[in-house]
Amino acid sequence: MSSDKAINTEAVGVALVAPEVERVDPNTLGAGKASWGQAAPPSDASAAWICSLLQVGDSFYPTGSYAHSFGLEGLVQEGVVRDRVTLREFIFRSVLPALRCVELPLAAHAWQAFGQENWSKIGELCQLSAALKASQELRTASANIGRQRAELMALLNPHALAVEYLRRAEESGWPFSASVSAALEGRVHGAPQVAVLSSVYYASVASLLSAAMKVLRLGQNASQSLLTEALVAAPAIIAAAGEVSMDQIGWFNPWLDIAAARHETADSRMFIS
Amino acid sequence: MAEFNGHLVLQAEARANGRTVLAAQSFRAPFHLSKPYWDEDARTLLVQVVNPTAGILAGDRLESEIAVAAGASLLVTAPSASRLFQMNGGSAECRQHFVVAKDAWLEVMPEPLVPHRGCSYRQVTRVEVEPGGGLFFADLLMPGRVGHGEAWVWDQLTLEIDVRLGRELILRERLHQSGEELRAMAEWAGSGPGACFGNAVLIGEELANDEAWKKPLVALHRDGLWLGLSRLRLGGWSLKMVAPDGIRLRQGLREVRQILAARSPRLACDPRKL
Repeated sequence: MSSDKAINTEAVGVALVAPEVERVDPNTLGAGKASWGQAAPPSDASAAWICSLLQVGDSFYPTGSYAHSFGLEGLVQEGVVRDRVTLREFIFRSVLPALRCVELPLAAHAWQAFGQENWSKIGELCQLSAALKASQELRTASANIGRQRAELMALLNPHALAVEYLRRAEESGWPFSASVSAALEGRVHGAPQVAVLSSVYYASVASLLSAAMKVLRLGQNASQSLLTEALVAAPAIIAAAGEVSMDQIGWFNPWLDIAAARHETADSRMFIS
Repeated sequence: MAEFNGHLVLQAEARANGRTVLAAQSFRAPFHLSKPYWDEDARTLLVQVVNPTAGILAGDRLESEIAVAAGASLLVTAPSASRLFQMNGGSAECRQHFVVAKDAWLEVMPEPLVPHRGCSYRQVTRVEVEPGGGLFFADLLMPGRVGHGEAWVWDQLTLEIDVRLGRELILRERLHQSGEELRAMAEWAGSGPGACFGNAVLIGEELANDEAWKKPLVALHRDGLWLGLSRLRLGGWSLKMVAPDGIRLRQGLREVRQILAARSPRLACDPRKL
Protein backbone atom coordinates (compact mmCIF):
# COMPACT_ATOMS: atom_id res chain seq x y z
CA MET A 1 0.00 0.00 0.00
CA SER A 2 1.25 3.46 -0.84
CA SER A 3 2.36 5.35 2.20
CA ASP A 4 0.48 8.46 1.14
CA LYS A 5 -2.86 6.74 0.65
CA ALA A 6 -5.38 8.15 3.10
CA ILE A 7 -7.64 5.58 4.71
CA ASN A 8 -9.95 6.82 7.36
CA THR A 9 -9.97 4.74 10.49
CA GLU A 10 -13.15 6.33 11.68
CA ALA A 11 -13.75 4.56 14.96
CA VAL A 12 -10.38 5.44 16.37
CA GLY A 13 -10.12 8.90 14.92
CA VAL A 14 -6.83 8.15 13.23
CA ALA A 15 -6.07 8.58 9.56
CA LEU A 16 -3.06 7.18 7.80
CA VAL A 17 -2.37 10.68 6.59
CA ALA A 18 -2.64 12.57 9.81
CA PRO A 19 -5.35 15.22 9.67
CA GLU A 20 -4.65 18.85 10.18
CA VAL A 21 -5.06 19.49 13.85
CA GLU A 22 -4.87 22.49 16.05
CA ARG A 23 -1.50 22.51 17.71
CA VAL A 24 -1.51 22.79 21.46
CA ASP A 25 0.70 25.52 22.81
CA PRO A 26 2.65 23.85 25.60
CA ASN A 27 2.94 27.22 27.32
CA THR A 28 -0.78 27.10 28.02
CA LEU A 29 -0.64 23.77 29.81
CA GLY A 30 -1.42 24.45 33.43
CA ALA A 31 -0.78 28.17 33.05
CA GLY A 32 -3.10 31.12 32.82
CA LYS A 33 -3.34 33.63 30.00
CA ALA A 34 -1.46 36.87 30.17
CA SER A 35 -3.67 39.95 30.30
CA TRP A 36 -2.75 41.02 26.76
CA GLY A 37 -4.16 37.76 25.38
CA GLN A 38 -0.92 35.96 24.72
CA ALA A 39 0.03 32.72 26.40
CA ALA A 40 1.70 33.35 29.69
CA PRO A 41 5.12 31.83 30.18
CA PRO A 42 5.19 28.66 32.24
CA SER A 43 5.01 29.24 35.95
CA ASP A 44 7.67 27.92 38.30
CA ALA A 45 5.28 25.13 39.25
CA SER A 46 4.74 23.99 35.68
CA ALA A 47 8.46 24.26 34.97
CA ALA A 48 8.95 21.77 37.80
CA TRP A 49 6.55 19.14 36.46
CA ILE A 50 7.67 19.65 32.88
CA CYS A 51 11.24 18.92 33.92
CA SER A 52 10.12 15.92 35.95
CA LEU A 53 8.11 14.47 33.07
CA LEU A 54 11.10 15.01 30.78
CA GLN A 55 13.18 13.05 33.27
CA VAL A 56 10.81 10.06 33.51
CA GLY A 57 10.29 10.03 29.76
CA ASP A 58 13.97 10.15 28.90
CA SER A 59 15.76 7.07 27.58
CA PHE A 60 18.37 7.81 30.28
CA TYR A 61 15.70 7.03 32.93
CA PRO A 62 16.07 3.33 33.80
CA THR A 63 12.59 1.90 33.27
CA GLY A 64 13.83 -1.10 31.30
CA SER A 65 11.69 -0.22 28.29
CA TYR A 66 14.77 -0.27 26.02
CA ALA A 67 14.72 -4.08 26.35
CA HIS A 68 11.22 -4.38 24.83
CA SER A 69 9.86 -4.05 21.32
CA PHE A 70 6.22 -4.45 22.51
CA GLY A 71 5.42 -7.10 19.92
CA LEU A 72 7.24 -5.47 17.02
CA GLU A 73 10.06 -8.02 16.86
CA GLY A 74 7.47 -10.82 16.67
CA LEU A 75 5.72 -9.07 13.78
CA VAL A 76 9.08 -8.67 12.03
CA GLN A 77 9.79 -12.37 12.54
CA GLU A 78 6.40 -13.21 11.03
CA GLY A 79 7.23 -11.03 8.01
CA VAL A 80 4.38 -8.59 8.57
CA VAL A 81 6.53 -5.56 9.40
CA ARG A 82 9.33 -5.46 6.87
CA ASP A 83 10.16 -1.84 6.13
CA ARG A 84 9.16 1.75 6.75
CA VAL A 85 5.84 1.38 4.89
CA THR A 86 4.65 -1.67 6.85
CA LEU A 87 5.98 -0.17 10.09
CA ARG A 88 3.97 2.96 9.40
CA GLU A 89 0.87 0.84 8.81
CA PHE A 90 1.47 -0.88 12.14
CA ILE A 91 1.81 2.43 13.96
CA PHE A 92 -1.26 4.06 12.46
CA ARG A 93 -3.49 0.98 12.30
CA SER A 94 -2.60 -0.59 15.63
CA VAL A 95 -0.24 1.29 17.91
CA LEU A 96 -2.05 4.63 17.94
CA PRO A 97 -5.57 3.12 18.13
CA ALA A 98 -4.38 0.90 21.00
CA LEU A 99 -3.01 3.96 22.77
CA ARG A 100 -6.33 5.69 22.28
CA CYS A 101 -8.45 2.73 23.37
CA VAL A 102 -6.27 1.12 26.08
CA GLU A 103 -3.13 2.69 27.52
CA LEU A 104 -4.17 6.35 27.51
CA PRO A 105 -7.63 5.69 29.00
CA LEU A 106 -5.98 3.52 31.68
CA ALA A 107 -3.58 6.37 32.49
CA ALA A 108 -6.42 8.92 32.49
CA HIS A 109 -8.60 6.89 34.85
CA ALA A 110 -5.60 6.17 37.08
CA TRP A 111 -4.63 9.86 37.17
CA GLN A 112 -8.15 10.70 38.33
CA ALA A 113 -8.22 7.84 40.84
CA PHE A 114 -4.87 8.85 42.35
CA GLY A 115 -6.21 12.38 42.69
CA GLN A 116 -9.13 11.07 44.72
CA GLU A 117 -7.01 8.45 46.49
CA ASN A 118 -9.60 5.98 45.24
CA TRP A 119 -7.56 2.87 45.99
CA SER A 120 -10.21 0.35 45.04
CA LYS A 121 -10.38 1.87 41.56
CA ILE A 122 -6.59 1.88 41.30
CA GLY A 123 -6.56 -1.82 42.18
CA GLU A 124 -9.27 -2.42 39.59
CA LEU A 125 -7.23 -0.55 36.96
CA CYS A 126 -4.11 -2.59 37.73
CA GLN A 127 -6.06 -5.82 37.23
CA LEU A 128 -7.75 -4.47 34.13
CA SER A 129 -4.42 -3.41 32.63
CA ALA A 130 -3.07 -6.95 33.03
CA ALA A 131 -6.30 -8.60 31.83
CA LEU A 132 -6.27 -6.52 28.65
CA LYS A 133 -3.00 -8.12 27.59
CA ALA A 134 -3.72 -11.67 26.46
CA SER A 135 -0.08 -12.15 25.51
CA GLN A 136 2.16 -13.01 28.43
CA GLU A 137 5.11 -11.06 27.01
CA LEU A 138 3.13 -7.85 26.52
CA ARG A 139 1.59 -8.21 29.97
CA THR A 140 4.93 -8.87 31.62
CA ALA A 141 6.54 -5.96 29.80
CA SER A 142 3.93 -3.57 31.19
CA ALA A 143 4.17 -5.11 34.66
CA ASN A 144 7.97 -4.94 34.82
CA ILE A 145 8.15 -1.39 33.51
CA GLY A 146 5.29 -0.38 35.79
CA ARG A 147 6.98 -1.86 38.85
CA GLN A 148 10.32 -0.27 38.00
CA ARG A 149 8.73 3.14 37.50
CA ALA A 150 6.72 2.99 40.71
CA GLU A 151 9.68 1.84 42.80
CA LEU A 152 11.98 4.41 41.27
CA MET A 153 9.40 7.10 41.91
CA ALA A 154 9.17 6.15 45.58
CA LEU A 155 12.96 6.03 45.82
CA LEU A 156 13.67 9.35 44.12
CA ASN A 157 10.62 11.26 45.39
CA PRO A 158 9.42 9.57 48.57
CA HIS A 159 5.99 11.10 48.15
CA ALA A 160 3.23 9.66 50.36
CA LEU A 161 1.16 8.72 47.31
CA ALA A 162 3.94 6.62 45.77
CA VAL A 163 4.77 4.93 49.07
CA GLU A 164 1.11 4.14 49.74
CA TYR A 165 0.61 2.79 46.22
CA LEU A 166 3.56 0.42 46.59
CA ARG A 167 2.33 -0.71 49.99
CA ARG A 168 -1.17 -1.45 48.73
CA ALA A 169 0.04 -3.11 45.53
CA GLU A 170 2.26 -5.41 47.56
CA GLU A 171 -0.43 -6.13 50.14
CA SER A 172 -3.19 -6.83 47.60
CA GLY A 173 -1.08 -8.50 44.91
CA TRP A 174 -2.03 -5.94 42.27
CA PRO A 175 -0.20 -6.48 39.00
CA PHE A 176 1.88 -3.45 38.09
CA SER A 177 1.03 -1.44 35.00
CA ALA A 178 3.16 1.00 33.02
CA SER A 179 0.18 3.27 32.43
CA VAL A 180 -0.90 3.31 36.07
CA SER A 181 2.66 4.09 37.14
CA ALA A 182 2.82 6.92 34.60
CA ALA A 183 -0.30 8.37 36.19
CA LEU A 184 1.31 8.04 39.61
CA GLU A 185 4.39 9.92 38.39
CA GLY A 186 2.17 12.65 37.01
CA ARG A 187 0.29 13.03 40.29
CA VAL A 188 3.47 13.05 42.38
CA HIS A 189 4.97 15.76 40.17
CA GLY A 190 1.76 17.77 39.94
CA ALA A 191 1.37 17.33 36.19
CA PRO A 192 -2.06 17.78 34.60
CA GLN A 193 -3.78 14.84 32.95
CA VAL A 194 -3.13 16.06 29.40
CA ALA A 195 0.59 16.28 30.13
CA VAL A 196 0.66 12.76 31.58
CA LEU A 197 -1.15 11.34 28.56
CA SER A 198 1.16 13.26 26.22
CA SER A 199 4.16 11.83 28.03
CA VAL A 200 2.77 8.26 27.74
CA TYR A 201 1.98 8.83 24.08
CA TYR A 202 5.43 10.16 23.26
CA ALA A 203 7.29 7.48 25.24
CA SER A 204 5.25 4.67 23.67
CA VAL A 205 5.83 5.75 20.09
CA ALA A 206 9.46 6.74 20.64
CA SER A 207 10.28 3.41 22.38
CA LEU A 208 8.73 1.47 19.54
CA LEU A 209 10.62 3.43 16.90
CA SER A 210 13.83 3.03 18.83
CA ALA A 211 13.27 -0.75 18.79
CA ALA A 212 12.34 -0.60 15.11
CA MET A 213 15.75 0.87 14.26
CA LYS A 214 17.35 -2.27 15.70
CA VAL A 215 15.20 -4.85 13.91
CA LEU A 216 14.60 -3.10 10.58
CA ARG A 217 16.69 -1.24 8.05
CA LEU A 218 15.43 2.08 9.29
CA GLY A 219 17.52 5.20 9.65
CA GLN A 220 17.38 8.10 12.08
CA ASN A 221 15.61 10.44 9.67
CA ALA A 222 13.04 7.84 8.64
CA SER A 223 12.18 7.05 12.25
CA GLN A 224 12.04 10.73 13.21
CA SER A 225 9.71 11.44 10.30
CA LEU A 226 7.38 8.68 11.53
CA LEU A 227 7.57 10.04 15.05
CA THR A 228 6.74 13.52 13.81
CA GLU A 229 3.74 12.20 11.89
CA ALA A 230 2.52 10.32 14.95
CA LEU A 231 2.93 13.41 17.12
CA VAL A 232 0.72 15.44 14.78
CA ALA A 233 -2.07 12.97 15.53
CA ALA A 234 -1.45 13.17 19.29
CA PRO A 235 -3.83 15.98 20.34
CA ALA A 236 -6.89 14.35 18.76
CA ILE A 237 -6.01 10.92 20.12
CA ILE A 238 -5.28 12.19 23.62
CA ALA A 239 -8.53 14.16 23.69
CA ALA A 240 -10.52 11.13 22.52
CA ALA A 241 -8.80 8.83 25.04
CA GLY A 242 -9.97 11.06 27.88
CA GLU A 243 -13.58 10.26 26.92
CA VAL A 244 -13.24 6.46 27.06
CA SER A 245 -15.15 4.94 29.97
CA MET A 246 -13.78 2.00 31.95
CA ASP A 247 -16.06 -0.53 30.25
CA GLN A 248 -15.11 0.74 26.79
CA ILE A 249 -11.40 0.11 27.29
CA GLY A 250 -10.05 -2.50 24.89
CA TRP A 251 -8.59 -3.05 21.43
CA PHE A 252 -8.38 -6.04 19.11
CA ASN A 253 -5.29 -6.93 17.10
CA PRO A 254 -5.04 -10.74 16.97
CA TRP A 255 -1.96 -10.65 14.71
CA LEU A 256 -0.02 -8.70 17.33
CA ASP A 257 -1.13 -11.09 20.10
CA ILE A 258 -0.24 -14.14 18.02
CA ALA A 259 3.14 -12.73 16.99
CA ALA A 260 3.88 -11.84 20.63
CA ALA A 261 2.83 -15.33 21.73
CA ARG A 262 5.12 -16.93 19.15
CA HIS A 263 7.96 -14.59 20.13
CA GLU A 264 7.88 -16.22 23.60
CA THR A 265 9.35 -19.41 22.12
CA ALA A 266 11.31 -17.95 19.20
CA ASP A 267 14.69 -19.57 18.54
CA SER A 268 16.42 -16.23 18.66
CA ARG A 269 15.38 -12.79 19.76
CA MET A 270 16.87 -9.44 20.58
CA PHE A 271 14.10 -8.07 22.79
CA ILE A 272 12.32 -9.48 25.85
CA SER A 273 8.97 -8.72 24.22
CA MET B 1 -40.70 -7.96 11.63
CA ALA B 2 -40.92 -9.85 14.94
CA GLU B 3 -38.41 -8.84 17.59
CA PHE B 4 -37.32 -11.40 20.13
CA ASN B 5 -36.48 -11.06 23.78
CA GLY B 6 -35.07 -14.53 23.97
CA HIS B 7 -33.58 -16.20 26.97
CA LEU B 8 -31.76 -19.43 27.64
CA VAL B 9 -31.14 -20.75 31.14
CA LEU B 10 -29.33 -24.03 31.68
CA GLN B 11 -28.15 -25.56 34.90
CA ALA B 12 -26.03 -28.69 34.59
CA GLU B 13 -25.51 -30.96 37.57
CA ALA B 14 -23.86 -34.31 38.19
CA ARG B 15 -25.96 -37.27 39.28
CA ALA B 16 -24.76 -39.96 41.66
CA ASN B 17 -23.88 -42.24 38.71
CA GLY B 18 -21.49 -39.57 37.43
CA ARG B 19 -23.68 -38.52 34.52
CA THR B 20 -24.42 -34.87 33.87
CA VAL B 21 -28.03 -33.82 33.48
CA LEU B 22 -29.82 -30.54 32.93
CA ALA B 23 -31.30 -29.99 36.37
CA ALA B 24 -33.00 -26.85 35.14
CA GLN B 25 -33.68 -25.45 31.71
CA SER B 26 -35.70 -22.59 30.35
CA PHE B 27 -35.68 -21.00 26.93
CA ARG B 28 -37.72 -18.69 24.78
CA ALA B 29 -37.49 -17.97 21.05
CA PRO B 30 -35.30 -17.49 19.18
CA PHE B 31 -33.55 -20.04 21.40
CA HIS B 32 -34.53 -23.67 21.11
CA LEU B 33 -32.86 -26.69 22.63
CA SER B 34 -32.43 -30.03 20.94
CA LYS B 35 -32.47 -33.21 23.02
CA PRO B 36 -29.21 -33.44 25.00
CA TYR B 37 -26.84 -36.31 24.34
CA TRP B 38 -24.67 -37.99 26.95
CA ASP B 39 -21.28 -38.88 25.48
CA GLU B 40 -20.18 -41.85 27.58
CA ASP B 41 -16.60 -41.82 26.32
CA ALA B 42 -15.99 -38.12 26.87
CA ARG B 43 -18.18 -38.12 30.02
CA THR B 44 -19.81 -34.95 28.77
CA LEU B 45 -23.36 -33.85 28.11
CA LEU B 46 -23.76 -32.34 24.65
CA VAL B 47 -26.40 -29.65 24.28
CA GLN B 48 -27.20 -28.04 20.97
CA VAL B 49 -28.77 -24.60 21.00
CA VAL B 50 -30.76 -23.97 17.85
CA ASN B 51 -32.00 -20.68 16.49
CA PRO B 52 -35.01 -21.76 14.39
CA THR B 53 -35.36 -18.28 12.89
CA ALA B 54 -33.22 -17.03 10.01
CA GLY B 55 -30.76 -15.35 12.37
CA ILE B 56 -30.45 -12.25 14.50
CA LEU B 57 -32.40 -9.18 13.47
CA ALA B 58 -32.84 -5.60 14.65
CA GLY B 59 -34.46 -5.35 18.05
CA ASP B 60 -33.47 -8.83 19.19
CA ARG B 61 -32.32 -9.04 22.79
CA LEU B 62 -30.84 -12.38 23.74
CA GLU B 63 -29.78 -13.49 27.20
CA SER B 64 -28.07 -16.74 28.16
CA GLU B 65 -27.30 -17.95 31.65
CA ILE B 66 -25.48 -21.25 31.85
CA ALA B 67 -24.15 -22.73 35.08
CA VAL B 68 -22.27 -25.99 35.54
CA ALA B 69 -22.17 -27.42 39.05
CA ALA B 70 -19.34 -29.40 40.66
CA GLY B 71 -18.71 -32.75 39.00
CA ALA B 72 -20.74 -31.91 35.88
CA SER B 73 -19.42 -31.60 32.33
CA LEU B 74 -21.26 -29.75 29.57
CA LEU B 75 -20.62 -28.90 25.92
CA VAL B 76 -22.84 -26.20 24.45
CA THR B 77 -22.77 -25.81 20.70
CA ALA B 78 -24.90 -24.68 17.77
CA PRO B 79 -25.59 -26.42 14.47
CA SER B 80 -25.16 -23.40 12.23
CA ALA B 81 -23.60 -19.97 11.99
CA SER B 82 -25.34 -17.00 13.60
CA ARG B 83 -26.23 -14.56 10.87
CA LEU B 84 -26.48 -10.93 11.86
CA PHE B 85 -28.85 -9.38 9.33
CA GLN B 86 -29.01 -5.84 8.01
CA MET B 87 -30.67 -3.75 10.70
CA ASN B 88 -31.67 -0.48 9.01
CA GLY B 89 -30.72 1.74 11.91
CA GLY B 90 -31.76 -0.73 14.60
CA SER B 91 -29.48 -2.98 16.62
CA ALA B 92 -29.37 -6.32 18.40
CA GLU B 93 -27.70 -7.36 21.61
CA CYS B 94 -26.69 -10.66 23.14
CA ARG B 95 -25.61 -11.08 26.76
CA GLN B 96 -24.23 -14.37 27.93
CA HIS B 97 -23.10 -15.41 31.37
CA PHE B 98 -21.32 -18.68 32.07
CA VAL B 99 -20.51 -19.97 35.54
CA VAL B 100 -18.27 -22.98 36.14
CA ALA B 101 -17.91 -24.48 39.62
CA LYS B 102 -14.88 -26.24 41.06
CA ASP B 103 -14.48 -29.72 39.49
CA ALA B 104 -16.90 -28.78 36.72
CA TRP B 105 -16.23 -28.47 32.98
CA LEU B 106 -17.84 -26.24 30.39
CA GLU B 107 -17.10 -26.05 26.71
CA VAL B 108 -18.78 -23.40 24.60
CA MET B 109 -18.29 -23.95 20.88
CA PRO B 110 -20.79 -21.99 18.80
CA GLU B 111 -20.53 -21.80 15.03
CA PRO B 112 -19.21 -18.46 13.72
CA LEU B 113 -20.89 -15.09 13.78
CA VAL B 114 -21.53 -13.84 10.24
CA PRO B 115 -22.19 -10.10 10.16
CA HIS B 116 -24.15 -9.02 7.09
CA ARG B 117 -24.05 -5.60 5.48
CA GLY B 118 -25.43 -2.90 7.75
CA CYS B 119 -25.86 -4.96 10.91
CA SER B 120 -25.33 -3.45 14.34
CA TYR B 121 -24.65 -5.98 17.04
CA ARG B 122 -23.20 -6.10 20.53
CA GLN B 123 -22.27 -9.30 22.33
CA VAL B 124 -21.26 -9.22 25.97
CA THR B 125 -19.84 -12.40 27.47
CA ARG B 126 -19.05 -12.82 31.15
CA VAL B 127 -17.35 -16.02 32.29
CA GLU B 128 -16.76 -16.94 35.91
CA VAL B 129 -14.71 -20.00 36.75
CA GLU B 130 -14.03 -21.17 40.28
CA PRO B 131 -10.49 -22.39 40.91
CA GLY B 132 -10.44 -26.07 40.00
CA GLY B 133 -13.06 -25.61 37.28
CA GLY B 134 -12.32 -26.15 33.59
CA LEU B 135 -13.30 -24.20 30.49
CA PHE B 136 -12.85 -24.15 26.75
CA PHE B 137 -14.61 -21.15 25.27
CA ALA B 138 -14.28 -20.40 21.57
CA ASP B 139 -15.73 -17.45 19.70
CA LEU B 140 -15.51 -17.43 15.91
CA LEU B 141 -16.04 -14.48 13.58
CA MET B 142 -16.33 -14.41 9.81
CA PRO B 143 -15.93 -11.12 7.95
CA GLY B 144 -19.35 -11.51 6.30
CA ARG B 145 -20.95 -13.47 3.49
CA VAL B 146 -17.69 -13.97 1.67
CA GLY B 147 -19.27 -16.31 -0.90
CA HIS B 148 -21.54 -13.45 -1.95
CA GLY B 149 -18.67 -11.00 -2.14
CA GLU B 150 -19.94 -9.19 0.96
CA ALA B 151 -17.38 -8.73 3.72
CA TRP B 152 -16.33 -6.19 6.36
CA VAL B 153 -19.48 -4.10 5.86
CA TRP B 154 -21.17 -4.14 9.25
CA ASP B 155 -22.32 -0.85 10.75
CA GLN B 156 -21.34 -1.62 14.35
CA LEU B 157 -19.87 -4.76 15.81
CA THR B 158 -18.84 -4.98 19.45
CA LEU B 159 -17.70 -8.25 20.98
CA GLU B 160 -16.68 -8.12 24.62
CA ILE B 161 -15.52 -10.86 26.91
CA ASP B 162 -14.50 -10.80 30.57
CA VAL B 163 -13.12 -13.95 32.15
CA ARG B 164 -12.77 -14.20 35.91
CA LEU B 165 -11.04 -16.95 37.79
CA GLY B 166 -11.98 -17.02 41.43
CA ARG B 167 -13.48 -13.52 41.05
CA GLU B 168 -10.25 -12.07 39.69
CA LEU B 169 -10.38 -10.60 36.21
CA ILE B 170 -7.84 -12.53 34.12
CA LEU B 171 -8.89 -11.56 30.62
CA ARG B 172 -10.73 -8.64 29.02
CA GLU B 173 -11.07 -8.44 25.27
CA ARG B 174 -13.03 -5.97 23.24
CA LEU B 175 -13.45 -5.89 19.49
CA HIS B 176 -15.05 -2.65 18.42
CA GLN B 177 -13.38 -1.88 15.11
CA SER B 178 -15.15 -0.94 11.94
CA GLY B 179 -15.10 -3.49 9.13
CA GLU B 180 -12.79 -1.24 7.15
CA GLU B 181 -10.28 -1.10 10.00
CA LEU B 182 -10.20 -4.88 10.38
CA ARG B 183 -10.10 -5.43 6.60
CA ALA B 184 -7.11 -3.10 6.33
CA MET B 185 -5.35 -4.88 9.20
CA ALA B 186 -6.00 -8.26 7.57
CA GLU B 187 -4.48 -6.93 4.34
CA TRP B 188 -1.49 -5.50 6.21
CA ALA B 189 -0.89 -8.83 7.97
CA GLY B 190 -1.32 -10.84 4.76
CA SER B 191 -4.38 -12.78 5.94
CA GLY B 192 -6.39 -11.80 2.87
CA PRO B 193 -9.86 -10.42 2.23
CA GLY B 194 -11.68 -13.38 3.81
CA ALA B 195 -9.77 -13.47 7.09
CA CYS B 196 -11.66 -15.24 9.88
CA PHE B 197 -10.96 -15.05 13.58
CA GLY B 198 -11.00 -17.58 16.37
CA ASN B 199 -10.62 -16.45 19.94
CA ALA B 200 -10.48 -19.11 22.62
CA VAL B 201 -9.86 -19.30 26.35
CA LEU B 202 -8.65 -22.45 27.98
CA ILE B 203 -8.67 -23.14 31.70
CA GLY B 204 -7.87 -26.52 33.19
CA GLU B 205 -5.57 -27.88 35.86
CA GLU B 206 -4.93 -31.11 33.93
CA LEU B 207 -3.41 -28.98 31.17
CA ALA B 208 -1.28 -26.99 33.59
CA ASN B 209 0.41 -30.04 35.03
CA ASP B 210 1.89 -31.25 31.76
CA GLU B 211 2.51 -28.80 28.96
CA ALA B 212 3.70 -31.32 26.35
CA TRP B 213 0.54 -30.51 24.37
CA LYS B 214 1.76 -27.00 23.66
CA LYS B 215 4.40 -27.92 21.09
CA PRO B 216 2.11 -29.70 18.58
CA LEU B 217 -0.51 -27.05 19.13
CA VAL B 218 1.68 -24.07 18.27
CA ALA B 219 3.01 -26.07 15.30
CA LEU B 220 -0.43 -25.64 13.72
CA HIS B 221 0.72 -22.12 12.81
CA ARG B 222 1.35 -22.80 9.13
CA ASP B 223 -0.15 -22.68 5.64
CA GLY B 224 -1.85 -19.34 6.18
CA LEU B 225 -3.21 -20.19 9.64
CA TRP B 226 -1.98 -17.86 12.35
CA LEU B 227 -2.12 -19.42 15.80
CA GLY B 228 -0.74 -18.16 19.07
CA LEU B 229 -1.00 -19.54 22.57
CA SER B 230 -0.07 -17.55 25.61
CA ARG B 231 -0.49 -18.06 29.31
CA LEU B 232 -2.93 -15.82 31.14
CA ARG B 233 -1.95 -14.21 34.42
CA LEU B 234 -3.76 -16.88 36.39
CA GLY B 235 -4.82 -20.41 35.59
CA GLY B 236 -5.26 -20.57 31.84
CA TRP B 237 -4.32 -19.74 28.29
CA SER B 238 -5.45 -17.44 25.55
CA LEU B 239 -5.56 -19.08 22.13
CA LYS B 240 -5.95 -16.93 19.05
CA MET B 241 -6.32 -17.92 15.44
CA VAL B 242 -6.59 -16.03 12.18
CA ALA B 243 -7.30 -18.03 9.03
CA PRO B 244 -7.65 -16.98 5.40
CA ASP B 245 -11.14 -18.53 5.23
CA GLY B 246 -13.79 -20.25 7.30
CA ILE B 247 -12.85 -23.77 6.22
CA ARG B 248 -9.25 -23.31 7.36
CA LEU B 249 -10.44 -21.80 10.65
CA ARG B 250 -12.75 -24.74 11.41
CA GLN B 251 -10.06 -27.21 10.44
CA GLY B 252 -7.60 -25.46 12.75
CA LEU B 253 -10.05 -25.53 15.63
CA ARG B 254 -10.73 -29.24 15.09
CA GLU B 255 -7.00 -29.93 15.22
CA VAL B 256 -6.65 -27.84 18.38
CA ARG B 257 -9.41 -29.84 20.08
CA GLN B 258 -7.85 -33.14 19.01
CA ILE B 259 -4.49 -32.15 20.49
CA LEU B 260 -6.04 -30.91 23.71
CA ALA B 261 -8.29 -33.97 24.03
CA ALA B 262 -5.23 -36.11 24.68
CA ARG B 263 -4.81 -34.26 27.98
CA SER B 264 -8.39 -33.17 28.59
CA PRO B 265 -10.63 -36.08 27.44
CA ARG B 266 -13.85 -34.09 27.65
CA LEU B 267 -12.69 -32.22 24.55
CA ALA B 268 -13.07 -35.51 22.66
CA CYS B 269 -16.83 -34.96 22.69
CA ASP B 270 -17.88 -34.43 19.08
CA PRO B 271 -19.93 -31.21 18.84
CA ARG B 272 -21.46 -32.45 15.56
CA LYS B 273 -22.70 -35.71 17.08
CA LEU B 274 -26.36 -34.59 17.03
